[in-house]
Amino acid sequence: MLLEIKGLSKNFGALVVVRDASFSLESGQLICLLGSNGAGKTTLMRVASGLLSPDEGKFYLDGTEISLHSAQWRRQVGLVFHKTFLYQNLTGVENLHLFSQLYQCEHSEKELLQAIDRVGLKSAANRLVRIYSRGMQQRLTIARALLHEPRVLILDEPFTGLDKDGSRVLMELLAEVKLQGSMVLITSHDPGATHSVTDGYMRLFRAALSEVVLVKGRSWQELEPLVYEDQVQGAAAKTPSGEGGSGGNLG
Amino acid sequence: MKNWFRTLKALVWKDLLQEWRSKDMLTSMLAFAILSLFIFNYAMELDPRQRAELAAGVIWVVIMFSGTLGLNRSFLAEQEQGSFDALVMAVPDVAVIWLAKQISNYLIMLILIVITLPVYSVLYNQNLFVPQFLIELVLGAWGFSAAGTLISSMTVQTRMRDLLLPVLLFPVLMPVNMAVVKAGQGVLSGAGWETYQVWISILLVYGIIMTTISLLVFDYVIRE
Amino acid sequence: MLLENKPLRLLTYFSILLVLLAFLMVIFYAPVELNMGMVQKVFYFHVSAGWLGMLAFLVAAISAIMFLSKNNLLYDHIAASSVEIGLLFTAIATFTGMIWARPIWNTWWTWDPRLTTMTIMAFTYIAYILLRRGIDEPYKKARFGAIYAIIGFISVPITFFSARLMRTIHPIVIGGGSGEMAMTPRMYQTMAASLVAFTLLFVVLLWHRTRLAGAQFLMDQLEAEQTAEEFGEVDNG
Repeated sequence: MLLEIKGLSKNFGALVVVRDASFSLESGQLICLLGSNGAGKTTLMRVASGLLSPDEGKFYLDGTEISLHSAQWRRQVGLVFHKTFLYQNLTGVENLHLFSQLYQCEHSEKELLQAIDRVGLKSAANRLVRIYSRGMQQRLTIARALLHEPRVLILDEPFTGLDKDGSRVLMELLAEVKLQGSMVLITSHDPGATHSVTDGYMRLFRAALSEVVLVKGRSWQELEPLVYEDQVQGAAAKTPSGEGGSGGNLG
Repeated sequence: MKNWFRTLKALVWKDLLQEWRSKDMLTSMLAFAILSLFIFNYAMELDPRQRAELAAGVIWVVIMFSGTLGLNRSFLAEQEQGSFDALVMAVPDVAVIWLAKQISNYLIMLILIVITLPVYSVLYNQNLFVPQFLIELVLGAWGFSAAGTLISSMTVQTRMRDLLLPVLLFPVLMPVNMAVVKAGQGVLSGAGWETYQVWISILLVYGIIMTTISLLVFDYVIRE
Repeated sequence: MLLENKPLRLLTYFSILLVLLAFLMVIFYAPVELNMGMVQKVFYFHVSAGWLGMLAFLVAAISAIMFLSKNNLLYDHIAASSVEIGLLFTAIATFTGMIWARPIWNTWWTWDPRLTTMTIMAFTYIAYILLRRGIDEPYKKARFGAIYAIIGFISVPITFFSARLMRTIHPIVIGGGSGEMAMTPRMYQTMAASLVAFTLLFVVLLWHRTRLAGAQFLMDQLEAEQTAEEFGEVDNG
């Protein structure tokens, strides 16, 4: 499976978040999106997930154009965002059970418990999420995102709140879903930490998205200058002139 | 279609289970409703004949105000934990999210009505369990919660939240208010069906229109 | 900006002229009504303002539907502008109605269906404006505003119908056949002149206000872009 995004632009009313961004993602590939706070990473993730409609841009799945707004697309995506998406007055298992039903997955009680065990929450499975710590909620969020075996995983800072053990579990899970042929788009403020599972880096800077720098066995120390250098040149070429997308919406 | 109903059931169950666990909405709504009934007693010490005529108005105002209190909370779980996003990603059709919330809000309204009526009956020594009166309240509550569920799904995403809901909701609820109160007066003063059936029809039409519009536009409320 | 748009400029002057003309007609041309006296003359403006209040809501509702289907902020600017102007005219209609009602019905306020409906409509307009003020993101503001404009617009006729089921004492001026108020030809002419003048005034005001909303939006955009630019200077990580 190959997902291609071409010519993606998104203005947030007055603010240009992404301009003319293109990238592609293959089965089993994990791409890490870099960018400073407020650079628009989250917005780009929301657009890619289909939650936010872009102003411009075309999306192709295996060469055929698709609408990211369609339910077929959305239901193939697994999401981990900053907010946990969990219901505080339901237990861990009940939260998973709810989404299992929404996705029509027909998981048995046993399978749900296995999924919860996988992220190390077995002992808390039947407690209300309200009393979970942030790290535990994050683990459950990850279990929830993987529940329906999504073909595309979109993770925005998934390591937030996770302790060492939690991070290890997440790394294992990422390696696993890659093996199963899912594609992963991830943002992280600490790219070195996820380097072992990462296949490529791209960076969002001043509304411009860089080319993907593929890892090809190199270490993060070797790649770091490449990722940032490429970006600086790209930004210089595409510096916003104040025109372009701005007035377009006025018709 | 079968999937649609199963999704609906799962979502309603989720709301009711959460409410059953916390009882946040229902306890404050009931406390507010019963307190209001007491306050009305002091505000207007009525002789029994006037009381019979005003009962419908008093009951509806109490139900509507406590209902608004509850509606303010109804999307809180979705808003605070961001689960709107997760639901949008998961469901086959976004409108089902509205309908599920509408059904759970409606059921909570019915519980409110079922508890408020006997309390009123005891406090004011008036039997309100007249079938026509119940029909009318049940229809009015649907229209109320349909408009309320749609509007609160928007106000919860604004800066002013709770402040905004009644300001937005009450003007569009005007026909429901008039119809419930007028029909209630008719029923409780013992008038014939033909004198108030037109009000019942208004409630029915209002409920259908609000439900249809909500199902059509809810997509625009939660998707950007 | 006004100078750049010739048709709008001409239309503006023309509408001012027409409104003045309508004023003169009301004062000098229209006869004094026998039973009610001079106060009856307020009704030319009252009816016009009431009509514009409704028209504005219709325009807002149509623009709202257009926005939802086209996702073009121009329609949102039209809707928001129309609501503001509609609120103004609804207020004028209500107050002129009260001025008229005081000597004729001997009360400032009655629960007459039209009066009730107009007032509820004004509250809906106010709620619409408050809703928009609570949202920063322009598209979300537009979407929520559009949804509220649509349900508000649909509830107005039901409100009117409901209010009408309770007895009315409002005179049915037009199309009422055996209305309580008989109109002479001069009265009809004045009425027509006033309606035309005010409708044109509405169009002109809507045009200006929509342009203003567009300009405001562009300015916010430039400001935000500049902020982002300045912020971007220190952002090199």
